[in-house]
Amino acid sequence: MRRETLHAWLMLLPALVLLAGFTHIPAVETVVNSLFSTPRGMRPSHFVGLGNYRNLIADPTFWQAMRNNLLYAAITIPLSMGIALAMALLVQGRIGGRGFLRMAFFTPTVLPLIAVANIWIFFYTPGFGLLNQIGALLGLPNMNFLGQGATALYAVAAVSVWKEAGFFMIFYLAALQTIPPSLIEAARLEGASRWHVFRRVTLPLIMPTTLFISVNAVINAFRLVDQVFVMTQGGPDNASTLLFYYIYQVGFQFWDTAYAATLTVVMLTILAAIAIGQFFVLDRKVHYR
Amino acid sequence: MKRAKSTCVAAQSLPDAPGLILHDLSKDYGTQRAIETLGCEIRGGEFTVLLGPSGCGKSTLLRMIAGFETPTGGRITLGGRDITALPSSQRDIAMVFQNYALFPHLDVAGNITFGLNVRRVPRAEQRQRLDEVARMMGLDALLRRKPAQLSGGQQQRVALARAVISGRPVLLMDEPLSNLDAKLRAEMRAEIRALQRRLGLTLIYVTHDQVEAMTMADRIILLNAGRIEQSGTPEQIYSRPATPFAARFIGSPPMNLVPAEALGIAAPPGTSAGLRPEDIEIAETGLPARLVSHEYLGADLLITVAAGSARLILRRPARLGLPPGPELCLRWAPDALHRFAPQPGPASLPTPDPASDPASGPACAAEPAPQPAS
Repeated sequence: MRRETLHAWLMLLPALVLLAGFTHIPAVETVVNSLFSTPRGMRPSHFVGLGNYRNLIADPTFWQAMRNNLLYAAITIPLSMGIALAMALLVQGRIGGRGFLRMAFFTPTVLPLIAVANIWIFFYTPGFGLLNQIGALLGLPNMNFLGQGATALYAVAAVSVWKEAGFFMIFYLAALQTIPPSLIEAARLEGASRWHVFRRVTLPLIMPTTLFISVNAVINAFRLVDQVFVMTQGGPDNASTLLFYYIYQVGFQFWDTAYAATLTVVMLTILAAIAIGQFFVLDRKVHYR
Repeated sequence: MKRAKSTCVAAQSLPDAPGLILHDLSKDYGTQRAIETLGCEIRGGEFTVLLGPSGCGKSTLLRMIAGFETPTGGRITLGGRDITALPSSQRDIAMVFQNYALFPHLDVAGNITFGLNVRRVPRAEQRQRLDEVARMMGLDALLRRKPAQLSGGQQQRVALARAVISGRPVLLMDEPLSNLDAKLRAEMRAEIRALQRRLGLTLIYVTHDQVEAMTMADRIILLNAGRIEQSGTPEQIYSRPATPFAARFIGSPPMNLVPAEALGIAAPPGTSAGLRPEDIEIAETGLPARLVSHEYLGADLLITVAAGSARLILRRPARLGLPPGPELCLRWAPDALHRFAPQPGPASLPTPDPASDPASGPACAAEPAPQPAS
């Protein structure tokens, strides 16, 4: 082997080991594991083919988690992105206390989600929680937001919107600041209304950022579920179980590792499909400078 | 796509484009006064250049006319209509921005018809006007390109086309040529000038480049530190500068401006005397001076001389060469001499008075220099 080739491999080795050891081999292992049964005390693992996948299709909890996750994504992604854009537009202009507002909007992002979730538990607490106290002032009945199936998922989703919007705002703010003011002035001179300028000039120019944020938002919607652990543990009656939380339960509470691997493969496939779809569909509409 | 449509662009031309009058206009930024109270008339159908060094308030003035800045005091009327409080879009004004302000996500056609789209002009009419303007500006082949795929000159043309297609009679241009290279700039100067003539636009053009102002303008408004130094035709400002600033700002190299005593001219103390470099001649008699240095420009030669404590630059055709020795005599036509009173203010004192000829120096024979200036 030539010296340079050897050197090149040596240089690549650390990254190669880390990537292979923690990303590629586990990924392949996961796919392999999903085709075998879970090893139990007396019964070693054996090949079951697509058996795990058949179980998955028949598993009502999986479908419940799936539905919950789609609903959760459908709520959190548009809401957090919309609020982020609105906040960015607000603090981009010349308004009083702009610096303070920017900081206030960004603060939720800096706080650890676990801590935030604990604080939100107090907001949601029945009886003396903040929301119920405000509700009582308005004459509304006492509500157990986290404790009833009808509201638990929405309560959890609200926390992630609150958390994510500030983070996405920073990206939108950066994108808005790259638009030269003369473009807006030129459009205004032509008689374009504020809304028209936003729709025909601002929005197309920040599309690359919107695409970037939307990919991140989708991934986060399936991945970032710390608050479920803290606030509901997926309850009541799986009403707030998300896919990722279900995988955790199956893998590390029920120790059905093969089935957890199967769930993981399904989730990764969904995520990859969505991300690729976003790039292919939106890319044609996105103008990159 | 191209149709042999006979609708001439001249049909858009506006024989009586309205003029603008600025009444006691002023602008403050906080406690900083950007524009002193000023008033002036910008005549309809004329090419008016707002000229001045950076920070003189010329862009602020233009932005107030466009409606992007609100004046602190005063009024603007356009064709007799008070537009001071109107939003930009209702002022009947088009504008070409310094960075062109093309929409990067729209192609050339989309950029040019943006305003027509906003104003809901019917598709067929849009296409027809686009065809005309694109042909006029030589953009036919580029209509589907994005601005990023165009050269600077082409972008400039698109920006112009977008302003022209609006059919608005008043066009504002903010340093439109500053991003182009020298050769292209000269081309675009002629093109913009021709366009303004052809369409009869009232064109207000902001620049810091006196060459652009001299070559293009019907009328120059020379600004300095937020006030008008002088306004008039290029010839008026060049040959009769009202202030030392006007004298120094227009012309390259600038007018020689020295204390009157240095030229041996009898005048109240503090008076400055001004002479254009091309108005000074090397002669057998006149003001004694000494050669300091020279600069060869091809057609011309710039010669720096010292006359007493004063330094003067004179310009002569290069074929005449340098004077034979370091000692020489200078003279000039009496009406080439400009005098500026010590106090700032409109104090143009051109001197038709032969008594104030260059005084005789010790080395040169006393003789009046009655050569008429060109």
